[in-house]
Amino acid sequence: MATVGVVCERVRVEEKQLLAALIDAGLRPAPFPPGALPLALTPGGQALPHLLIDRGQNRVAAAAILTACRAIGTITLDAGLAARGDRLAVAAALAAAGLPRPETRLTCSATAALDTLGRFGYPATVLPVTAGGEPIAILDLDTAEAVLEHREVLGTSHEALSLIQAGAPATRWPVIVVGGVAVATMSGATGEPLPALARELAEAATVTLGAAIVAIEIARVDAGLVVWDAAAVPEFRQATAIGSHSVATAVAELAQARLTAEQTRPASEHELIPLTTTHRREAVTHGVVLTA
Amino acid sequence: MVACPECAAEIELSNVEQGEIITCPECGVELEVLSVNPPTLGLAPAEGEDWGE
Repeated sequence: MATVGVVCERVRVEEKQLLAALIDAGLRPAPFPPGALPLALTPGGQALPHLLIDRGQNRVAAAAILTACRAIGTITLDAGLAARGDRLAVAAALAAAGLPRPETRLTCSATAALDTLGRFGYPATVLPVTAGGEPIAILDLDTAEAVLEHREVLGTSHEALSLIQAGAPATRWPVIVVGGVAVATMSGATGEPLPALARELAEAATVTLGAAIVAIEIARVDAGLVVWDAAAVPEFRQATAIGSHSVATAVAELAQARLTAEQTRPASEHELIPLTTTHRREAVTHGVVLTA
Repeated sequence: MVACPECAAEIELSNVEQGEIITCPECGVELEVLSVNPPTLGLAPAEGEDWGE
């Protein structure tokens, strides 16, 4: 029976649902807490699950685990660039793919950020570049000065970096996409049902990010619907299914399909990729994205 | 009994005070006792700097 590790620090409601769905799908799942295992960076260095599903709340640790495990041959189901990169990489990739996006600037200082906010007008949104950082709606200049100077003075160089997006739209829909298909959503703040175009945009964004499981946030701005943000580990306990499958069931079916595909793959394709090669490949990918 | 807001496990609260930090026996998350009567739990505030978030 194939084993599945669920990368997570804690088993929350979502992970419980996922573990139950994986058992129902005939798989043998178990939590895979990043802090519990020193990871040998050589194939066969330890017994790993056949497949890992990313539900890591600590994005730095999860990204490291995913990168290392992929390099030594473990299949991973994750949010692709949104799981292993940062918000800048995600924003740049989505823009390069031609998907509709809010007007966005990268700023590396509080001065540049304040200048950008002044040009965009208020409200606007500051998104920390570090994956997982909560976006901050900036309603006026006083708030902007307080937040940005606080981040720059007291933070590390990472906190001085910000992505600034024009607007702070009230109508946003997180769309959870599994295996390229939108399977669930949350109602927007206004309760407006998910438009068909939002679903299409979310699925297109998922392809761009190379994501197996991801939440794509679609927002309505003056110009229409835009891809606002992506979340690597979406909460889905209160999600509304779009079709007949719950998120957990869809993920379990995707895991099963990936494992079946791996078992039927010709032996010649099972060569493991040395870690250094993978790192170089990912570095190249990031470089292309960021300079696009 | 009150549900853990993180994993929905049922937790029995006894001899706790409002504001006390407890640990969920099932998922291990730190929880704050928001109210004793009625018993209410919330996620304990994260420690450290929030960088204005």
